[in-house]
Formats: sequence, C-alpha cells, structure tokens
Amino acid sequence: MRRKGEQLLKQMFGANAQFREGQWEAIEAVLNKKRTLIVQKTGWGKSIVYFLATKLLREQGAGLTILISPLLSLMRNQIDMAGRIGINAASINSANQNDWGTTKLLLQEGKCDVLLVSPERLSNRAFVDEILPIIKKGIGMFVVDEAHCISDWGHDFRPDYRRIVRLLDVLPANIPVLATTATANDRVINDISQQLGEGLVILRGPLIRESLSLQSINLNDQAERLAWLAEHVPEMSGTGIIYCLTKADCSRVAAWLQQKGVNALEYTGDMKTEVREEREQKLLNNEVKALVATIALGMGYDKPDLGFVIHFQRPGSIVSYYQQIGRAGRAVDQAYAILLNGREDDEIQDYFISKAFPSVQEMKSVLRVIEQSDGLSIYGIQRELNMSKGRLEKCLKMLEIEGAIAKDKSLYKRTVNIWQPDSRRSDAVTHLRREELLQMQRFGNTADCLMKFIAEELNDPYAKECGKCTNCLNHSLFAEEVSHEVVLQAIKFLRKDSLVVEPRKQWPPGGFGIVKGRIPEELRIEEGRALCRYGDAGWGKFIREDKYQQGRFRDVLVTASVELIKKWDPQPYPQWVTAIPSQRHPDLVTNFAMRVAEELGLPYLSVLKKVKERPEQKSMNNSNMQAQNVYDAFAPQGKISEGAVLLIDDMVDSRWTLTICGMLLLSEGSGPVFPFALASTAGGGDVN
Amino acid sequence: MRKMTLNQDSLAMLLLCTNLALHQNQVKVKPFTLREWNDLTKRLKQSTLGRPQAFLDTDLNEWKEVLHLSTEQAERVSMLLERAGQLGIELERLQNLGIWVTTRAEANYPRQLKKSLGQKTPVVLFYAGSLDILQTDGVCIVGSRKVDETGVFFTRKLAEKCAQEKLTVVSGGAAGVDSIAQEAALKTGGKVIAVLADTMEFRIMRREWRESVLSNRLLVLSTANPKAHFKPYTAMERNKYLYTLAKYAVVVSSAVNKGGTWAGANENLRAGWTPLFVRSEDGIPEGNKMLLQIGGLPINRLAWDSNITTLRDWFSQKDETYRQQSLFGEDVAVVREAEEELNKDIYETVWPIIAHVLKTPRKETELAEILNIRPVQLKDWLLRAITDGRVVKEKSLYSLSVRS
Repeated sequence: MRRKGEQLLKQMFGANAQFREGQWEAIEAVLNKKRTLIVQKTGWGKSIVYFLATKLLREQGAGLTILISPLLSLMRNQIDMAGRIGINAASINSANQNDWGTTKLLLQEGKCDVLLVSPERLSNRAFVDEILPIIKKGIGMFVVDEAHCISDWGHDFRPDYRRIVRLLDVLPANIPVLATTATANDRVINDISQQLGEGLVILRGPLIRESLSLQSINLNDQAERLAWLAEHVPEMSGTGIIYCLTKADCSRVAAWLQQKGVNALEYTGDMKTEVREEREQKLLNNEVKALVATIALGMGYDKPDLGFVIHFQRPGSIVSYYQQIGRAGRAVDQAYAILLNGREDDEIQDYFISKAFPSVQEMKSVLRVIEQSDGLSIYGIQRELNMSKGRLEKCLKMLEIEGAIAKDKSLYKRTVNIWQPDSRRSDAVTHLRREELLQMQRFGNTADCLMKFIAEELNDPYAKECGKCTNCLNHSLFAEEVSHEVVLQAIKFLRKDSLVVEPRKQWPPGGFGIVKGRIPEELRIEEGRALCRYGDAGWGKFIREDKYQQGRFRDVLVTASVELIKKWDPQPYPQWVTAIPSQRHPDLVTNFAMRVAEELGLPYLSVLKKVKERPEQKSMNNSNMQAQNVYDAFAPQGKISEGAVLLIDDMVDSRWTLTICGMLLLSEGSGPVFPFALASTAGGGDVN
Repeated sequence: MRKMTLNQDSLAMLLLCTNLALHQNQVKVKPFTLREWNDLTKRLKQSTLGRPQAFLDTDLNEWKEVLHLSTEQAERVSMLLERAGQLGIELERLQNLGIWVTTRAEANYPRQLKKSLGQKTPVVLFYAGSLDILQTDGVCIVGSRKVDETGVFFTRKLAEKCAQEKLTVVSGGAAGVDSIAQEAALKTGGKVIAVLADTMEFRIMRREWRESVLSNRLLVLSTANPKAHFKPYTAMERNKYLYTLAKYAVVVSSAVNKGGTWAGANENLRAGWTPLFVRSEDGIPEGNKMLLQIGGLPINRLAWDSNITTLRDWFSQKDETYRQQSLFGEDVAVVREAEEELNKDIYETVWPIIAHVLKTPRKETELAEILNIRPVQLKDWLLRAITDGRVVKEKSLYSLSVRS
C-alpha cells in the first residue's frame, strides 16, 4: 500500500517526490478507518494527506470525500490545488450557485472525488434533501479542515463546528475521519480529542517557521503607526499583508498608503467575491505591494513567497498572531513579521470580547418570543424585541446550535429539545480570552526571544531560540522612530477623512404603524456628510470630550465642519440652517449649528421642536425600534423657509432622526434637506 | 444539549433495518424486514462475526463466506451500508429537532417491549421526550376514528381519571379516540405516551405537543421514520406496542373484523399481553360486543365514576379475577369457537395449547401423542412455529424459544 501511495505521489509531483515525515503514517491511519488529527504548520502538506487518501480510497470503490472548510477563499485554493494533481474537486457554497447544476451531475455520475462545503451547508435543508442523496456511492471520508474551530478554547471557535462534532458522534465506524490544523496548543488538542472520541490518532510536528524574523514595536497613536508604515513598507522586499482589526481601519490605512505612493489595496469580508478573488490574485502575482486586510484574508491563503506580515494593531491572542504570521516565509529564506502595538488595541479587543457571546438574558428573551409563536422570521422577532440585528443573529445561531430552535425555510421554530442556559462555558471562555489578551501584551513588551515565546504558548515541544528576532539579535530589524513631518501628515489625513451619510429610501423591513415600503422621493433627505467617526483618532476624541465634559463644541470643530461643507458644496447650495432639537442637551447642538451658520454666512432658523421625551435613540437597537422611537417625537414650529436647508445634528447613527425631521421640513415646504453631523456612530464604532 | 450516543451495533442496525437517509430514487434497495433481520442476527451470533457492528469492519466477501449469504444478499448489505455518511448527517439533524433514537442494542431501550414481544420487538425506535415516562403505570386507551358521543364522553372521562390518578395514558395519536384521550389526559395534567406510525417530525412541531414534551408530560414514540407518511400496514403493526407498553388496556369502540382497533385487540387477547377491558354500556358497536364474548372484560362508567374505589383499584381487582381463570381450561372452548368463527387459520387457535405442552421440551412423536394429532399435521405446525421464532429444535427435542 505504501508503494502505491508513493507511486501516486510521484505521479502528482514528479519522480523525486517523497513523503515528508508523518505524511504516510497519517494516510495509513485514515485507510485503516482510524480517526486522525494532524497538527502541522502551514505548508507541511496536510492537503496532500487527504487528497492522496481520497485517491486510494476511491480506487477501493469508496464514495467521495467531504471536506469541511470554514472559508470560501480556502475552498477556492483547495480546488485549484486538487485540480493540479489530478483530483476532481468541487464545492457547493453560497458564492457559486450558478455551478450547482454542473456539480450535481458530477456527483450523480460519481466523477467528483472531493466535495468542499462549509459546516453550515451540512445542515442546509436543500443540500441534505437534494444533493446528498444523489452522490453515487455515498460518502467515503470526512475531512475537517481548520479543526481548531471545534474547540471553544481555540482562537477561532465557530459554533457550527459543534454540529460537526455531533455528526461525528453518530457516524458509523466504516467512514474514516481526518481532522487537520496548523494552530493548536495542548488545551485545544485535548479538547478536540475529547470531542472526536477515544482512539484518535494524533500526529504533531514543529510549528515554528524557520525563516521568519520578528519585531514588536510600541507606537501608541494611530498617526504614528500610519507614519511608520509609510516610511518602512517601501523598504521591505517582496510583497505582503498588513492586518488591521476593523474594516474601517483597513480602508483608512490603504487610502493613506496610496496617498503616500505605496500600492496597497484593502481587503475585507464586505467586498464582493469577484473583487476579493481579484485582489488575492494580484497579491499572488506581486502586482500590489500589500493587501490591507482583516482576518477575512484568512487561513490557508497560500502565497509561498509572502515577504512580510505587519500587524497594524495587536490581535487578541498569541495563537491568532501565530496563525496570521505563519503564512509568511514559506518558500523564501527571509521574511518579516512586525507587530505594531497601540493604545487603542485593547479597547477594540475588549469590545470584541464583551460582544463575543450573547448573554443568557438575551438568549432567553429571544427564545421566549419564538416559543410563543408558531414560527417567526428574523424581522418578526425584531418587531417584538429591542435587539440589534447583529446580536439577534448571534443569539439565533447559538440557540440553533444548541438545538433549542430549528429553521424551517425562513421561520425560526421552537424544537422539543430542553434548553438549559449555561453561561459557565461562555464565562470560562471569556475569562480565557482576557488571559490571552494579557499574554499578548506581555509579548509586546518581552525581552525574550519572540519566536520562542510564541512556540511555548503553542506548547510546541520543539520550541527554541530563533536567533533572528530583534530580541535575539539585540537590535531592531526596522527603525522604530518615525519622522515628525510624516506624523503631521498622517494627522492631517485622519482629520480629512469625512463620511458620507446616505439617505434612507425605505422604511424598516416589515414596516411599523401605518408606514411601510418605500419612502416617497419628495419626502427624502439628500446625501449628507459627517466630519468623522465617533471616538476616532482624528476629531473623534474632541467630540466626545466636548459633548460630555465641556457641553460646548470647540471652535476648531466649527472650522473643520465649515471647511468640509464648503468643499462638499452641495447643490442647490443651502440657504438656511437648522438643527435637531434635544431636550436632554438643549444648547449643545443649536449653539454649534448657529456658529456654523454664522461662518457660512447663512441665517439660522429654529423650526423644529421636540414634543415627546423619548428614550435615547442610541438605546434603540434595531431599525424598527429606532424608527418607531422618533416617528412622532418632533414637530415643526414657526415659518419654514422655502430654500435648500442644512440640517445639523451632533451624532448620526441610524439616520432615522435626520430622515424624519427632514421629512417634516419637506412636508412643510422647505427646499432639499442636506444633513450634516459631527460624528457617525453607525455600527457601534465600525467593528467587523 | 444532551449528547446522542449510539453504539456501532445500533448504527449498523439503522443502516440495515430502516430507510433513514435512504432515498429510493437513487439506489433501489430495501432495508431488512424484522423477520429477515432476526435471521441475520442469528447467523451473526453463530458465526465468528458475532454482532451487527462487524458489518462495519468487514467486507462483502467475508459476509458471504462466514454468514453464508447469497451474492445478492451480500450486495444488498453493501448497498445499505453505503449511506453511512448521510445517515450521520440525518441523525444529527433529527437530534437538533429533539428526535432521538434507541435500538435493541442500547441500554435505554424499553424493557417491556423486549419482554412482551421478544423477537417481534422493533429494531429501532424514534422518540422525543423523556423515556422515564415508561417507568410509570400505563393505561392504553384505543378505539376507532369514528366514535359516537357516548364514546367520546367515555374516553374523555376515562382519560381524565387516569391523569388524576397518575396513570399514564398510552395511545396511538390517531384521530378519534386516541386523540381525545391524549388531549384530555394532558389537559388534566397527566402524562401520555403517544406511539405513532407516521409524521412524527411534523406533529411534534405543533405547539400543544411541543409544550407537553418539553414539560416532560408527553413521550412520543415512533417505529416509523419520523418523516414517514401514513401507511395502513405500519399503523396496524404499531397497535401491539400500545398494549405492550401498558398495564391495562381499554377498547372504547371497535368494528367487527376490520380496522386497527379490532386487529390489535384480538392480537392482544391471543398473546395475552395486557388485560383487555372493553366498554360495555348501551349502544356499543358490534365489535365491542364480540370482544366481550371472546375474552374482553367489561368496563363502564362505574370504573371511573365511583366514590368507593379508585380507578387503579378497580382495574387491579378485575385483573385479579381475570388471572384466576386459567386460559387452558373451560375457556379454551370459548376461545376456539370464537376464533373458528372468525379466523379460518386454526394454527393460531391451537398454538396456546402446543405452547403449554412444550413448556417441557419434547420429541416429535411424544408431542403427536399428547396432542392426539397426525404426525404430518404436527410437523407442519412445528415448522411454522420454528419459522415464527416461537420454537427451537435441538437435536430431536422441540422447545419454546427463549424470548430475551
């Protein structure tokens, strides 16, 4: 059998090809129907193991291999690789629906060897009822890629993987199972072991990448870090990745680098698949200097000659950090991993941690609403419950994984599984995450070998000093100082970064009260502007301070706003200015608006009043609730002038306040309404 | 969430004996019937393979050789095992809905079923709710779908009384008597075991069912695939489980010679699983009258409408009296007569007698003498009894098979 395996290997990779240590052992274990876990670094050849095992099993008459993968980009890579070595792989996923027809035929005729799917796909009704049954010869093997996702102790726990584990619990023993990962420490491995069952064969190798040189730099301000990037990225040979924690940061960093003459493109999960594929390809072909990405540019993106990985902000754990830098330096002698530590990093991580798990209270309330019905859509639930869509989706996912609810087409229904809220697990995980954060901070400040620090965190039995990092060498790989000049430019850049406020065209889905559907054009506000994002590195800090501590917005904000408005130059140009009234902070916004009006040389008219005291708009968590909250809270007063008007508020979040006040003005005969706000708080601070 | 653990024997049984995850449009193969499976199990036991799990570890050639299977049968096994991956996925899906599985090879399989039915006990059972409810005393309440007002009233009152006295109502979930009994019992705060033969998955989504299961008062069992549609055969088969899970059985209304209630009641009388009570008051249907003549015990409103005695006591008293009458004495003639009128196949009639005699293992000639029949006829019946799994022959001795 080994000889057969070697034969195949040579067929695929040439006459000189040989099995790496452990590869054949893994294939053999699988062929003997033993459940196997491979823990090896990226590039070791885990895919070779399962592709070859598939080929050998197929020759024995087995069914196809189902390869469970968490990311679309991963799937694409795999299919390409499989094709190159003569294995027919296909995928059924949300981005390739046009191909499903052809794939189905392949499955029916038994011509597909490997089928790649996401974990959620396995519980998709259409998939289970229409695709699985037609697979000729059924399923011959399950491969769980990125198996660390099974463990909530892991850095990338995905709830859908819990269902995979349950599937494996009731899988007959004649179907072998292979799990693979490149990032798992002892705790995670033990957890996976427990879940995959006794008799799990574990094959583990050294995780550290020899060619990587590490450096950790402390630069508190975003402006300083932007400056550092502008100065040093051009120095680095080859092309690479710059990781940011949020989408907004990616956008900003990419724009800044472009401005400074560095060919950097942003890459986030929001982008269309074609665009993402295009940019992945560009980096592969070295047509860009760097992709500025969130973790959406994820695991297994395979570029053997990746020259550098820079982290603009600190990731949440050493293991995540390792995973992200692990893809550099695969096939080059020298590659760099630079970590920029900033003050805001912990705030962001803290936010992520606190929002990671839905609270027991939240889950209970969602369940209660569903229980009392015969099935509700997500909109139906939103109408009953003041919870943001994001939170709600998290709750629904957890409840579904725990078997408390099931989805029947688009309705969520209560099942007959008893549900016991158990916060112990999530509490334990939250606690762990905070530990990991502390550990990451220690890493940022350690004087020990950086690589060894990471290896020990991974419980790598082969951990040792690297001799290549700044601490081993005792000098920095890249200068840590930044030129004052460039920092100033960066500050200016951050402050110029204004935002567009899109007008709302529709009432919230499902409507409320008597309104539903489209907002008539003649009652819609125009596209507007916001100076910045709330809490942001540029103006954001001032705005926060002034609102809550000073009670008055400082003059420099007025100047910046006026400058923006003049540059924006809305047409037809506004002829008067008004502001959104507030009973809570009566002078704050009006005072600001008046000063803006004065500098613009326009009259200020106070034509809106607040008639009902309502809970703060920011406490309303979904569109429906937000719209309902403001709908009847304002009324017009006095004479409303006919010309175009600049409608000012200090914050814009859901845009309902501006929409409804704008509507009032328009219905009372004003000209086009242009909204302007100091800060946007949309998306709770622009996190992923 | 509870973890569903099924051992490999169970998984093999699910693959070989059920149509779970089996889609006929792709592969045309039939799961093994109960009889076929019993035969297969026997061969397994007598071979080196031992248990159903072995099918998962060995291949076609070994099955043919060691189990003496024909090529056709061996291929049948192979085709059934092919869908193992899909089975895992389907089981996980069911689990997520709250539908669990038990099999003959699992420790939590209802003991009463094994004890009463022996080889006829279902290989696989689907359930939702807590199996603990099986530990309570049950009263099976059955009857036809079409039932008159007095019948409805009787059913409701009886079910309520059961609930009040903590007697679990066992019923088939069919329209008519079954549903009325279930609803009344649940409304009164009692417990119910609903044994279904179809559409389990659909029914447990209904709010009343769902809430009762979640509050631990309803246990839903199904011998058929949870997605299965109604089939008269499975519905008929299901009836015996109602009797074997209960301590007492009450027939509210039955037709004569047709319908599930009639068939089930007769089967119960023949097999002697549960004391059979039959509603006896004015205006009862013909079926009731017949059943009362062939062994059914009369029950009327006095059972549940009395200040003197509880329903439980009433049942146990009548049961006592019933037991004291031997089945093989004066009543045999009655039984035989009734059977002959209705059922031309005398085998079932004589079986109890043969069984009685075979309590001691005997030789063929001996048997023929005792029973006073021609050896040829005896041979026929013995052969039948062996096929049915009721009798085993070792060397030249015939004896009753052990019902484990």
